[in-house]
Amino acid sequence: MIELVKVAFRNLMQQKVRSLLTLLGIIIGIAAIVALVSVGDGLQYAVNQQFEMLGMDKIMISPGSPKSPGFSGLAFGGRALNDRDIKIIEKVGGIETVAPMIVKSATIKMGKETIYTYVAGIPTEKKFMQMIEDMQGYKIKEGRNFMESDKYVAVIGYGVHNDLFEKKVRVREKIKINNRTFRVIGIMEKIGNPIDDYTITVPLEASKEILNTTDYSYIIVDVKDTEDVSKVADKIKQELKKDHNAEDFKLQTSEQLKDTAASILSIIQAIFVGIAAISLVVGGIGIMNTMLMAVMERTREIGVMKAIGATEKRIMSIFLTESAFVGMIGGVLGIALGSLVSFGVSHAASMYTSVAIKTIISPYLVVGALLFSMVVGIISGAYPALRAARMDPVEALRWE
Amino acid sequence: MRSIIELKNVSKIYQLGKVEVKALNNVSFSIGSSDLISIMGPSGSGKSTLLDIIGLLTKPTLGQVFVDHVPTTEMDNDQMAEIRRKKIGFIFQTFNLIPRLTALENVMLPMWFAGVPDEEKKKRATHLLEIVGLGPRINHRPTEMSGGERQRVAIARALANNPEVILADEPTGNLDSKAGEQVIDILLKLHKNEKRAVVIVTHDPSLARKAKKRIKIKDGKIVKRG
Ligand SMILES: Nc1ncnc2c1ncn2[C@@H]1O[C@H](COP(=O)(O)OP(=O)(O)OP(=O)(O)O)[C@@H](O)[C@H]1O
Ligand SMILES: [Mg+2]
Repeated sequence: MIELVKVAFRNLMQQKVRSLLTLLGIIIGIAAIVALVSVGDGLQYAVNQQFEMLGMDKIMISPGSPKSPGFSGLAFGGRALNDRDIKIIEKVGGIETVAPMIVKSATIKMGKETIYTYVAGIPTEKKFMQMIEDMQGYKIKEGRNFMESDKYVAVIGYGVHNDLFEKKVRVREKIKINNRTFRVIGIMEKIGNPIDDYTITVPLEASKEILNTTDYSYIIVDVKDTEDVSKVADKIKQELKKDHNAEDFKLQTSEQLKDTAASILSIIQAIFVGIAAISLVVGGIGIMNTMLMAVMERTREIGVMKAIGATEKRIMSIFLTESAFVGMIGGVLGIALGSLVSFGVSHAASMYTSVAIKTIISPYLVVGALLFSMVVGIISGAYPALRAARMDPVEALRWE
Repeated sequence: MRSIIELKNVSKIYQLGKVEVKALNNVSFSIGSSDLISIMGPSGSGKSTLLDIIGLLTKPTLGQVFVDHVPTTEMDNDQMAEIRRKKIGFIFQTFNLIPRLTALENVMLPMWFAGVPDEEKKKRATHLLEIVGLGPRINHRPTEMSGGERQRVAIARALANNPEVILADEPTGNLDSKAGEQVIDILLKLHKNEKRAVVIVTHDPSLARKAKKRIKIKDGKIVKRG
């Protein structure tokens, strides 16, 4: 076995440039897989954490058809959700709190500047505040959060504070939202996604007034007992359907949301892994080609080895070891390159988009990629090795 | 004298398109233990083909080959490889060493195929290279050696698994006379001191004369035995 590897190594070193070119395909393929899987794992991890924060005991209801994609309070069509729906939901048993939210764009004025951004209205009673804080991971960086008695005050996202206007917006400053003056009472910490960071949050009642609406974009239901979530969700659905005479709303439990997010992620990952697989096939064909060349060039050697007593199995294993070796070296370099790319992606992500993706390169991924690249090498080398093994010794010895 | 390899009415026919080439035509011939045999004949007469068949590199088209009185007709490739590994040592005109391996590794190669343990492999290969006078050069590659030295490595390799028969196809064909003499010296000593059967294909009449059994071959037929 040690000899096999030694001989294989020597044979490869003999043709350094060719070996390297052969490796290129498999390096790229493995690198792509490693990078994509690790970035994907990182995303998955980030999503899971987001849901951990959200908690698994929530139900979210938004207007719009249940078949419309995604979860958005801005969906069109269907009857809006309003206080009547809140009443209906509150009557369903097993519920802790029901929190409505409004999200809409509005014009914001500060000094002479006018800018459009999102305004969110949230209930400011203590029990709601607690829930929303938990869910969104809102943290006040400066100033304070809402109190129940607040009316025309605003908590601004980090982006609004930092760079939405020419001048930084600070606590105690005045801004005009749809021509109504609000006092900034708090600035949030950077969250990482642009929508949250550029949102201005105000008390629900104030938002109804300035946005001129009584329709809610979301209703968030906090269920008392996590085990009851799907039961409560079914019941709410049933009641709302009865009242609306139609299913013109979208209802999702945190569990369902999580599953949706996870399945979207895994589809994306599968597509990329598919692309990587194609480059591996190309790499494999490259290995096959190189090995066929090697077999031809070493025809005479094969004849000699047979003459001095090598069995077909032995010849086969010599060439297979060589191609497995090519695969493995490609795998090692591919893993290195892929890790580099993956770190680069997470670095770039945190620098330019402020989305923190911690890429994860698990030992399973490393070992799997290594085994996989070896298998690609062996499969690609199988036919050339078989040809070598089956050579007629007399003809091989007389090969010029 | 015990017969190791015996050919009975052997013919080897190559089909070249519609033309049949009778490389060997009804040849019967036997190699006993401690035989020294020379084979001579013009180019294309079938000398190498005869060695191929004696060395079990290929099967005859007609006739039979016996190894230790056992017919080889029904043997598969692996069984033939095993006999080559254990009983036969090949020496070629063009040396045919593996260029990427050192002298020592080249000599160890047949032992690797035979599954000899590491320690012993190295010891024996070193010893064999000393016998052929290459003790100080065991770690050199073939490209760093002269033709004569390469052929001596090849002899050491042929002896690796202690074969009963050594088949040498024009072993001095690519060597100058001095290097050739050295090689022949070693082969003759092997025959004399170790009682191994040695078959040498040669164009050199003076070498041929040293053999007790002399064979002349022409157009695939043995035309003279002596
Ligand atoms: N694979 C083959 N296909 C067809 N004909 C072949 C093949 N191998 C050998 N021959 C023919 O068989 C005959 C004997 O060839 P062989 O190589 O045994 O001759 P030789 O006596 O060794 O000649 P030389 O002294 O030149 O080495 C030649 O006519 C050759 O052309
Ligand atoms: Mg010949």
